[in-house]
Amino acid sequence: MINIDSRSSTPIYQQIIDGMKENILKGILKPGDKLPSVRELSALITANPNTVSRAYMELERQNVIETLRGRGTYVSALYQPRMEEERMNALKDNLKKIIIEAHYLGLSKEDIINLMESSYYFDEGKENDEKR
Amino acid sequence: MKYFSKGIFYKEFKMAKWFLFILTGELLYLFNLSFMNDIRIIKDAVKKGNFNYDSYEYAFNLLFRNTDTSQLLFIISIILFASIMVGNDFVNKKYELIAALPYKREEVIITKYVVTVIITVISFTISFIAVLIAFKNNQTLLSCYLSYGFLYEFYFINLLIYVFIVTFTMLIQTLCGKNILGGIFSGIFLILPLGLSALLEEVFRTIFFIKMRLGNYDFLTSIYNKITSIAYYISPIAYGTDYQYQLSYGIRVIILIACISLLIYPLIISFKILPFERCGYISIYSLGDIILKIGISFCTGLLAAAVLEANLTGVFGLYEIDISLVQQYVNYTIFYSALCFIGVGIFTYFITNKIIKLSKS
Amino acid sequence: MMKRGDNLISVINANKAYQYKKALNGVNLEVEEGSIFGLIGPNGAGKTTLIKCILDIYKLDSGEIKIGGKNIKNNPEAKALIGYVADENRYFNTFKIDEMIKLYKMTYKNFDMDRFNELNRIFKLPDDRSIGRLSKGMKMRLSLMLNLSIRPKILVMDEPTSGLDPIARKNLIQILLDEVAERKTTILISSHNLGELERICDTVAIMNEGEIKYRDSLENMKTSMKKIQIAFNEEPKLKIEEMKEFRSVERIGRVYTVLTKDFNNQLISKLEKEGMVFYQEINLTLEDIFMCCIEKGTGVM
Repeated sequence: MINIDSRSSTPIYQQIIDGMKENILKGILKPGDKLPSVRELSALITANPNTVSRAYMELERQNVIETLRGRGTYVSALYQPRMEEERMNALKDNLKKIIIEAHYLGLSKEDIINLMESSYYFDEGKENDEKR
Repeated sequence: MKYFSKGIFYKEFKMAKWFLFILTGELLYLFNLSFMNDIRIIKDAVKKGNFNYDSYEYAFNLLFRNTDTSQLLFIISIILFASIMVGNDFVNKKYELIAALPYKREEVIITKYVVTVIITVISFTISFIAVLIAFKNNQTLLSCYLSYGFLYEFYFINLLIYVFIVTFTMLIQTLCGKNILGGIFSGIFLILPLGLSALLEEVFRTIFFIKMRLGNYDFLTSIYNKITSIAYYISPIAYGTDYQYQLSYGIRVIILIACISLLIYPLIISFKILPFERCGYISIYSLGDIILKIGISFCTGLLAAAVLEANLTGVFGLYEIDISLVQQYVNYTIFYSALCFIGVGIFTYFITNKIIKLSKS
Repeated sequence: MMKRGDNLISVINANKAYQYKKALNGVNLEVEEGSIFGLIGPNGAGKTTLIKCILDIYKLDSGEIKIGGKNIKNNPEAKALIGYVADENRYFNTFKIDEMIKLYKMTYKNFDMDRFNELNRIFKLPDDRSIGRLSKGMKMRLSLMLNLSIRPKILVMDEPTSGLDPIARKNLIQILLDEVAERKTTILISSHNLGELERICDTVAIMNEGEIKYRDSLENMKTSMKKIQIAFNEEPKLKIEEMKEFRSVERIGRVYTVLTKDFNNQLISKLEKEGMVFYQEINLTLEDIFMCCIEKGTGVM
């Protein structure tokens, strides 16, 4: 469900938050789904319960999840608007990785832009074909 | 303040109960059996009509008034027992486990001490009760020498001696980081006054040899008696014997009770401040290192010198040669013995030093 | 989340010297309640000495150690709150397992036999063996089981995963996480397994030569310190290794890998003037911090 990379520079609680949000994005978790308890999740991903607890609190603060007394923690039905921002951030990270790879291949900034343009037009053409 | 806990008692008693059987068995087998044997011999002698009071008295003197072999063995056993009760946990750093358990250090050592003393007392008491029973069954036969009063005196003073030995040994073992070695040192300290007095007598004999050759024994005899008396005064281990210059019974009892009382508190404190990281050292404190090095070198040197001196007396023929030459050869003897003392002493010092250093690595 | 509760471990200015070596040199340490605290350092750094002093096995030359506000020295009430799993578990070798249990039951009022049996279902120790005949791993497991069954507020573990196979190691970690989740137990672990600690610890302290060189939450560590890879066009005139901003510098050719707390625009322009053509932030691990502390010697705080 969520992959924690303990060697990453991102703090683990942040990875949990991001992972949860990603799961909701991808539809693995839908609004109203029951989430594992702090204890269950910490056992599942082998993470410190304090960290999990903190991530849950932050997710609740952001209204991504909600806790119903005596019943457990659920994905909030209200969580929608931030999706775009998350996706944007993911996109930016991916672009950065591609640029670095291209740079190591010896491409200059212009080369990269040219590459992008050719791919861009190619895909648009493909899309237009499908629409027909 | 709680001084006695079930848990520690359980742990200590598990080890100590074996010694209860060993000690009681030892006494019953060696002491009581000898006693029964002597009674049987006397019974036979009376039956045959050749009962001899002197040999009878001699047998019982051996058993009750001097240190019989069985009593010697018992003393060695309780020294081992007492040192193992403290020293066994030095092995494999078991004290580190005990230290982490929720017990006060005082609780631990007091429990160890109480268990050790109680078992010593019980084993000796069982043996004594057997003696009492044997006495009661043969009272008419034995009452010319033995009496209840005598036996109770015997019991009481020996009991105090054993408790003293146990207390002293446990104290010494808290200063020595190796199991059983503390017991060995304790044994040495206990007989040290007697041993040293014997050596001193040798020395005096050599120095005043001429006077002896001239037949003047009184001077030497009075010196010997003085030395031996002092040795016996300060050796509680020998208080059960009946050497004629021994202190009176009452005073011996008081000294024993005082010694025991004065040693208990140091025992508790010594254990309380024990640095467990030094488990395995021959001497836990550096002061002990110095005492050991100097003490062992001194005693070994003295022993070697005494042995040499005894041999030289024969070699030079000090008893046979002409009186005019005696002083000269006596001087030679003293010179070589002194040399031997210094030489062996220095040699032993370096070896002891090395051994102590190795024990700390 | 981080509140100062009663079950704190407080080490205040601890000093301890052996005959030829100073093992603890003015050590100050605080462990918060309910946290998992990692203590790391090279061999001989003083970790084991510190742990043994915390447990009142060894005595300090000076300084104080408090458990839950009470001085641990000769204090059975404080010791009853602590479970200790040593790196080498020494027992009374003539004891059998059930005799050991009996001893613990008599020693600790809160000993929970149900918890012991629950753990035994996972660890499956043989019932009737004398302890001397158990393997090292089994002895450690027994110690863990006994010490968890006393319901400790604090669990102190010295190198618990050394000598365990991967399955046993995983079991151990799971059990520890469960303890924290369910019972809010505070855990102090000393270990060489940085990867493991990086995963489960809240706070980490790095120790070397008897001193605490670094102590912070893992989160702070990762957000405040950055590991940057810098590439230069040509040899920079400035000595990169000597720049104050960098806690540690490694170099291969024209590429420098640095650790720094102050990676900001000022620094970037300064480096660009020296001919920096490329920089990239890469993953900072606990191992990096460890190497930096130990090799450089100075604190990284």
